Amino acid sequence: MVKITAIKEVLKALFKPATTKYPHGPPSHVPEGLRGLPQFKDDNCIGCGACAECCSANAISITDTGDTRTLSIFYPRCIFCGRCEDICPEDGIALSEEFELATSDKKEAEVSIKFTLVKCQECSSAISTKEHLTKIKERIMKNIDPVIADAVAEDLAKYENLCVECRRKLSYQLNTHTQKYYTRGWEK
Amino acid sequence: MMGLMSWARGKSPWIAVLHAGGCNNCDIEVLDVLTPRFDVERLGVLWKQNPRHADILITNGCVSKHSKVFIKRIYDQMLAPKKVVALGSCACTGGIYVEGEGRNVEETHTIIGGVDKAIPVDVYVPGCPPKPEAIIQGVAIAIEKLKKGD
Repeated sequence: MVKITAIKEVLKALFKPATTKYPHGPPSHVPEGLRGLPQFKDDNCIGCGACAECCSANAISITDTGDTRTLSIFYPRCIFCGRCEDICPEDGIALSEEFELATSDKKEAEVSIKFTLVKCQECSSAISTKEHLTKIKERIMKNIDPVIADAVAEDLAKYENLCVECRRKLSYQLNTHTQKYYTRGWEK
Repeated sequence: MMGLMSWARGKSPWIAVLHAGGCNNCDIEVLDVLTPRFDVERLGVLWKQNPRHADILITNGCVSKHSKVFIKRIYDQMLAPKKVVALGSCACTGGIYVEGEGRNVEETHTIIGGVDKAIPVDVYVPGCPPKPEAIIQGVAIAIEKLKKGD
């Protein structure tokens, strides 16, 4: 029985050779879900930097220069583990099926995406990207207890365009302490 | 006469594989390239594990302080013109074995980084490990360079 299958294979190989024609033709078999080059999706990525935080090879880096934030993948260092794709909260990065990455120039081996930074009103230090701040706001309003929803929305409006340090400094002045939520019957 | 020699060299480069350090998976992937399925020998390549005979040196794995000396010695034993292919993320930059973020590769107490820290590299093949087709592509680029240069 084994011999018959072996003979079948031999006959098949006679008419259709098993060897790939790769550098002179397309790759024979790219398996589904192959972990190839990670790519940012321009529409979904919010520039939060969760991928850079969890990158096991430290291939993804965030650099804030002036008004722009650049997220870049230096892929000669990438180990194609897919943790960035797993952890991304907005489905903004995904591994593509591209694997033909051989290059003679390491300087150009990079995938990057750029964002405009929002600056703090008080101290003019960088907070985060606009897309990131809107997403945070959306998520808070989605999960909040409806009893205190309007008060939280009011506080968030006051907090807009303030960095973490300045929020702490001005919390008394803006009256944003969480103490006032308890008077509305919020017990969590 | 030199033109004929470089033509012949481009048609049949001899290759040596060098493992510098790391996990050895790229070495195993190199074996796949030699199987009938991918068969790199149809490009005229001859697998010759001797740096004195080889035109192309394929290095894989990160370079440790210990192995740097030996890599240099093997590279010096090769005859010019010679090309070096760095295979895998570790050989390209140091991969998961080094500190620092993105391009800023900082050495740890044993690992100094990619192969380019020890010897000049011509082709980088990223991947962990690279697909056999990616290795063939890297070798093909090195062969093109051999044909063109020197």
